[in-house]
Amino acid sequence: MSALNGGRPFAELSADEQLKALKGIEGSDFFELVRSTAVVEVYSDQRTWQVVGYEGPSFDKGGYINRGFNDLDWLPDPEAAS
Amino acid sequence: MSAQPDGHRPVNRFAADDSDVIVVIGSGAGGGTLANELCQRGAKVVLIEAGRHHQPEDFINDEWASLNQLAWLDARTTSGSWRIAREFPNLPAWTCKTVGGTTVHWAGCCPRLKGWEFRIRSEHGPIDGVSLLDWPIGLSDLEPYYDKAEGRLGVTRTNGIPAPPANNNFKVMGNGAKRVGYTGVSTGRMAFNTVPRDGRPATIQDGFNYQGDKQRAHWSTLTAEIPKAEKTGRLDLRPESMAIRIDHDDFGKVTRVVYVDAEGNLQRQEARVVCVACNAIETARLLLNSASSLFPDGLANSSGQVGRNYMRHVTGAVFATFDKPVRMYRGETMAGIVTDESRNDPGRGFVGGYYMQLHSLGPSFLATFLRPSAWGRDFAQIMEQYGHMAGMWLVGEDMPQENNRVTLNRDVLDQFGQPVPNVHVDDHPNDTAMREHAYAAGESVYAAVGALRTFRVSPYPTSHNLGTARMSARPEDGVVNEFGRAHEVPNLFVSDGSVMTTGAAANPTLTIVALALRQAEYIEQQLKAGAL
Repeated sequence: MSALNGGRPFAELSADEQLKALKGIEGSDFFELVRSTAVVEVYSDQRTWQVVGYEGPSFDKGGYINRGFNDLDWLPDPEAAS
Repeated sequence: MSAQPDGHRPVNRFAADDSDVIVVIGSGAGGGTLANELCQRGAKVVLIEAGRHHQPEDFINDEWASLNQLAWLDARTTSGSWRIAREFPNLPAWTCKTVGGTTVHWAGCCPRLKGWEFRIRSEHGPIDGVSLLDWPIGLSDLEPYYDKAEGRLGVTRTNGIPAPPANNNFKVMGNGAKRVGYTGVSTGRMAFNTVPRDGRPATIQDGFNYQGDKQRAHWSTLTAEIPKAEKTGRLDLRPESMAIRIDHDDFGKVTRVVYVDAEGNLQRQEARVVCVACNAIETARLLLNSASSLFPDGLANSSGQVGRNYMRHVTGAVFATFDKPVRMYRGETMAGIVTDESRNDPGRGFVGGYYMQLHSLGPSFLATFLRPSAWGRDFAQIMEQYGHMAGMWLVGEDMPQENNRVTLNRDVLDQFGQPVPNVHVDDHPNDTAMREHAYAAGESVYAAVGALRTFRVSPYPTSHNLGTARMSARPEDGVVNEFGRAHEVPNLFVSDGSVMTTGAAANPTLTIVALALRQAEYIEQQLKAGAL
């Protein structure tokens, strides 16, 4: 990676420069291996779940029957509404 | 008869040379139900299952870990113009390899087929490139068995069983659907308990369906049929046993099943009757791998129809983001349906109908399937909206085509040295037209309740696999008759979705169960009449 950026380590680039460097290798086997691995790892990580608003395993917490499976309050129950 | 925790395996109940047993291969919706029904009717049954005997408490509330535990991940290859061949070339279908088969990850949608769906061929005449055929039976033949199946599965809104309550994701889809004028909008007929029933509890709405139901509120052959069969003392369940060939005698009657057991040893089980229920891809593969001098193109395949007409439903998904929270992952995953488009109206530009059904994925699966190969800022920003996202699945009738088929790939062998199945699919223009219509309809539903953005998600590996050993009135048109009995091998039956002559729009499990109950009754009659 650093060879693509004038020898500077990828981690030291700005976000825009990182994006540009990645665009330069998009579609390569290496990029696809890293991308597909990263997508699985990043979005299976509890820290990501907190950011995106996912609560993870629920069976051990009793499910959502008493924890808001139907707590959406900006729309009515569609069948009751008719 | 399951594997014990210490690895000790019980002795088989029936001897390998007991030629009086019925061997059922596959323990899912078809095989598991059939095995139990035959046991209840007094037959001795050896149930051979490739997967392990996992118990619900072992299931995992995590998408990838669960996939690795339950999914059928043995080698397969793909070809054809379908996107799966590019995006998921070794995972054409998402089925399960475990006792209970694919019922273990089934969300439980139970629509019945409609009368006209049994006779699409005569309703619409020939269609270019399509191998349509009417079923040899109609809805009235199946209705009594649908009634029994619904009671057995405990389907909500039938038999006095309360409807599922509306969850967050359904409030979004259901209100949107009503605002665009749809009327067939409900939380659906579902095979999970809304009240305690049949020794299983009511759902705690934990949101994990595709990962197996840890609490047993969902019907599955693992939790309902197989335990009942074991109580009869007439079931011999053999997990971790991979059937690789069915042998026959000089007269063309099947005599035994050859399988590899958990220790890797080749075993042979004699049989009076053999019932194949391995899900459409493996059922076709097993028949093709059982070719002999008498059946050079595969067992029961003089018609050349084994493996052909593979159907997997027209599918797709629509997700949408909103400015307020939805939390679609809470509650029963698929407890919501819009039925209005499941009608016979070629004026829409295609034959056949489709359903919109509630659907959600966790962040890890959504990131994989939302836009395969996507990355970058826009993708990350979409994913950050996860908690504000709603989702639906689209499922409709796809057209059977002669060359959409399962064949043997002799260049790739599995862990048992057997050729793996290759699954070839080209979308038909009717399928594409239906999918486009369904995407647009789904987007309009979400637009009606203020969606910020909507996303069309292309079909991912699905669990509906049909048609590869289809029923036909005439032997030259299909593989089995109306009872699933092979046209040319009198004591060979097919007992899964492979037998469906056309796919219809409905999720197939209820129909597979109804057909299995009908088949069990027929097998008993034939045994009593001395015809088997």
